[in-house]
Amino acid sequence: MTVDLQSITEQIRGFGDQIRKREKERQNRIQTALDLFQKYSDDIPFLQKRVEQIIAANRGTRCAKPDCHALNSKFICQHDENNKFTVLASDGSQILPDRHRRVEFDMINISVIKLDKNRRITKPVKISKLLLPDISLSPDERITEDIISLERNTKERQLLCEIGCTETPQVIALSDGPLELFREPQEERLHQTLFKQYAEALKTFTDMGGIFAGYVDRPKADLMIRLLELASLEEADIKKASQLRPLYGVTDTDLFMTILQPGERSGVFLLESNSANHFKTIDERLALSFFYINIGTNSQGNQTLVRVEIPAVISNQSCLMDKLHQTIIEQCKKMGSRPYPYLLHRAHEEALVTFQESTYIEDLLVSSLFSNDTNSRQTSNKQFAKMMSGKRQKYQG
Amino acid sequence: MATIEIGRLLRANTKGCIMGCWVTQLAAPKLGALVRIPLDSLLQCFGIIYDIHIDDDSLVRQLLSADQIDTDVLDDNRTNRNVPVEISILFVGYQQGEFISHLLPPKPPLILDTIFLCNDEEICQFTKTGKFGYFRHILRADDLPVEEILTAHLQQANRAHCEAQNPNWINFAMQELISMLRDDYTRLMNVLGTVADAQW
Repeated sequence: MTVDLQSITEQIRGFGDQIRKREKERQNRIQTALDLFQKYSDDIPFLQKRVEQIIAANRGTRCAKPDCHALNSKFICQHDENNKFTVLASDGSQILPDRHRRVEFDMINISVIKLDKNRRITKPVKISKLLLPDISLSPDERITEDIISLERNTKERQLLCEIGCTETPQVIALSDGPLELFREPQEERLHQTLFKQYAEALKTFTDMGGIFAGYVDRPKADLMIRLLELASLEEADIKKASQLRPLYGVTDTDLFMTILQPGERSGVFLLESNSANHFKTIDERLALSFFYINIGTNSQGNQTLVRVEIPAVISNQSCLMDKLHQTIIEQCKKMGSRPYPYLLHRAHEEALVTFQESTYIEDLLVSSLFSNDTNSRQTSNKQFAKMMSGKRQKYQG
Repeated sequence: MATIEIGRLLRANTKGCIMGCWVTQLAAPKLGALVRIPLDSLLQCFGIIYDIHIDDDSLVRQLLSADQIDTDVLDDNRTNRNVPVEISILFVGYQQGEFISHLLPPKPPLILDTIFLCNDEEICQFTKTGKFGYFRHILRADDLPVEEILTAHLQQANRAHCEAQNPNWINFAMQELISMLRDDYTRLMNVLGTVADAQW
């Protein structure tokens, strides 16, 4: 064993004491947050004005902004037996560039799986795209990890659009992860182009009447908490709002866990952030919004909250919100003691690239494209040494 | 006569092979069924199905924890998911050109070779050749439910022979079995007991 277990054990013991102290403080902050939540719950005009004030003075503020419902609004899942919405779920995986391989290549693999109106799950549709960094000689087309991730997200949404266009308007498209892109569109031309394509896909789907939703499991966001912090600021402190975090460490989940019962969802809130605002520049209707759902208890008896991001245009249509709510609850129930949308899991299964497949593709590239190279293609010396180490037999004594 | 493709080969050796098939194809193969695997235009192996194996996986186990399993999930797992049914086959002979032999095939088939269910004509042709020598391949498989496999095979072969106006085939087959097992009283009684349980 290469790890100093004694040192690790002592460190864990040390953490234990810190965690206990921290948890006590965190519980105090959660209570403060709950009190603020109740205090400001109905004062929507004040909250909206406060958010605008803060954003004007502090670029980069990231928080929730209430729309029209009280903060503590909650909605029960409406079970409609005639729910004939088609549900699409997409996921993707990627192989990232690795200069230590024999050939540097990237790949994105996307799958979309459909539950049709007759409640049948059809065979998944897949796209695999190979990218070779060696081909590009332009700095504008430099393929980075960000680019690959953005291209993957874009292709997922485009494929959802393509498949969903024949099913609209009654179609819900679920994807894993937020709709928001966490990096702002960079100056590189490729990044900007991909972002526009991504936003256009959302726009097209929304124009067709479909519902795009990003499903975030185990959300760690504190968007609502941030709103409460900003609401409780003194006027004089508005300009230094970004430095004042009295509720830091408390998440939205801590808050809504005490409010939402299994099956219930919160009201919808706008997402204010630099990256989210770029969607508004494409189309106001794409302004990102979100809500929380309590999807039930897991095998440990713990309630499970998830966050769902949607374009703002959906949030005001109660009929569509009900369908989305019902769909998510139904999909999560199918996974039993670990609630998670069944279709999203299947999309993930179908998109996953295994290590064997990745190695096979590398072999194909070497034999097909580089068999005539005068320099034989090998892994880097560092990678070779690592592979040797993995096979060593250490004496256990 | 129409051929029924029931799967493709996953792995093989000289005594038998394992094939994979989709759940939708599973309606065709049964325990004891006679199958053939063409190796080339002149050579094909014959085998008898002795095991049909369906693996579970972690998703299936997780789905079982739900209050109920909806039909869309059931159908998705049976038809869309890449979870093949594995069928084990014992080789019992081969055909080279027009010549049928009850010896083990000279070479095993290759992976992804197609496997077909034998129709009645092919069953009759194979089972009436020689003197039931292929029974020994089944009888010497110690770790298999020999009695069940034999009985299932005899039922299917008997039905094919009756269709071909050869109702006496089953009598000759039973006589040969008794003769083969005359020194193994226990197994003989087990086989006869199982045969008696079957519907003819």
